[in-house]
Amino acid sequence: MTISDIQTLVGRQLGQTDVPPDAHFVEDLNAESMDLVGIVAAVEDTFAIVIDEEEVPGIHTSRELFALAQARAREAGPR
Amino acid sequence: MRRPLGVFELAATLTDEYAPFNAVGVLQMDGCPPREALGAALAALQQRHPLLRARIDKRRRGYHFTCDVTSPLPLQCLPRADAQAWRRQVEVELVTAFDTARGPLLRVACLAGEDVTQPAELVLTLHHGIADATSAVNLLHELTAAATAGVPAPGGTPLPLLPPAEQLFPAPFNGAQGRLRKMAFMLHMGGAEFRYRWRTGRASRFTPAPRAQPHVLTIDLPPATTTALVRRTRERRLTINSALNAALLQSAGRHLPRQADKPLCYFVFPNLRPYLDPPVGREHLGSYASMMRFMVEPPGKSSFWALTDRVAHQVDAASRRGEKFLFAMASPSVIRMMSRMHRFRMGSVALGYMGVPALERQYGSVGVTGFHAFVSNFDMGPEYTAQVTLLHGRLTWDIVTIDSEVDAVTATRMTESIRTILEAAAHEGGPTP
Repeated sequence: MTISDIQTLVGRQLGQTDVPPDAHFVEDLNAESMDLVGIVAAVEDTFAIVIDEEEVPGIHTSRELFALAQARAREAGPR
Repeated sequence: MRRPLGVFELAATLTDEYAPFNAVGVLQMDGCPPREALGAALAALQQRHPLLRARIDKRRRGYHFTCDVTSPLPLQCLPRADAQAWRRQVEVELVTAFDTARGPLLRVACLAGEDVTQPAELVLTLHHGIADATSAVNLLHELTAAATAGVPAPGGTPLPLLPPAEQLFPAPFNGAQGRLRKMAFMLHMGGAEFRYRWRTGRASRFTPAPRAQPHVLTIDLPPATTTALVRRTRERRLTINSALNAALLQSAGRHLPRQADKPLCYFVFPNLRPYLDPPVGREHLGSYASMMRFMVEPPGKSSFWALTDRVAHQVDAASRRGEKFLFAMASPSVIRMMSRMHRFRMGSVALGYMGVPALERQYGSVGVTGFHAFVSNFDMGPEYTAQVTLLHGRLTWDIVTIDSEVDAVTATRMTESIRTILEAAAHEGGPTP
């Protein structure tokens, strides 16, 4: 998993080709709630991890999502 | 400091002129800050937030916030007779009006026993014109943090009085462009309203009941059910908000007698803060929310997931069209018209999903054990409202009904039905993957 993988998933969900790693999903990229659900679900499916709903409000950018996804993947162990 | 009220602030104030429109937050704690610490914390917060020094000036040229109130924020320390005392207090707070011409527009009650290490509740009541859910929760956080830090309480940096929301709307929704869009939107809404009235007939009328009393109820979904519901919703790429609304609509369609086989109007409350230019952080007390209203076909007989899908796409499509701004702009005119007509109800149910409230688990020696939120409701509707939060792994529904519109048996039946609907949806198809 790399940050670029996350940026690609975010870009696909939002229909944007260039997603800077620190762009705020809502404030900068105009994401709606359904987009945020789609982004989190896509990351879960792609990397076989689970993200708690209570962690979602703390995710605003691709970089933050990458850090959380990495932590969850480490906890899940090698596949 | 003085400025005109923004559109949502004005809608809340006009509603409050019809009947008290208060937002109430309850923090449940293990332990309680002493009275003098709470008083010092409130004094510090009043210096920090201009709207805690505000009153509402009503003059010929409109309504203004004037931030010159010098009287302290009221703090009542009450005996905690039993574990349900806070509910009775909330029922009083919801219908006790603020003196808006004099201010201040916030009051606090603390329910505690003599032993400050025992369970206690802080009940924060605000005029809805000065706070949305985001900033009300933050205020409760700041109050508890300051009160547990000792005397004198740290109040934080004094904040400016920010402009009203509509001055921060993105370009297509402000200025002349915004006004044109608003006119077109109101024409469109008028057409939708006509169709709704036509199809609901007497079901959308109401008899004014100025002394209606609120009744509060709570549903607490255990962590296993909450987690399963979140998983099921996310698998379908739908929002939690839409699943919660679908459960509420389905229950109302089945149990509100006049709703049988009739379309139903519901409200959702978008948070505008991150969409404003520039975005407004939660530390700024204020009402930067909107109110969106939708109609669904008779929801009692729909399948839960079909209804969730319908609600999710209805809200999403409207949000993408910018209707969260247009609804906000139209809200003062709509409230003015509805509260003067005394004839048609605005809608039957409303749900605010607040997500995860930004609260700590522990403030000094005080532990947070729960959080509840309530908003006044009205004979003109909505008369069954819910604020839902996700805290410590549990979804908590805080429900308000009024006795003129929903009797106690129906309210309890609806509430139990919501729980059953959500449990069935969460656990359908076996254990959570």
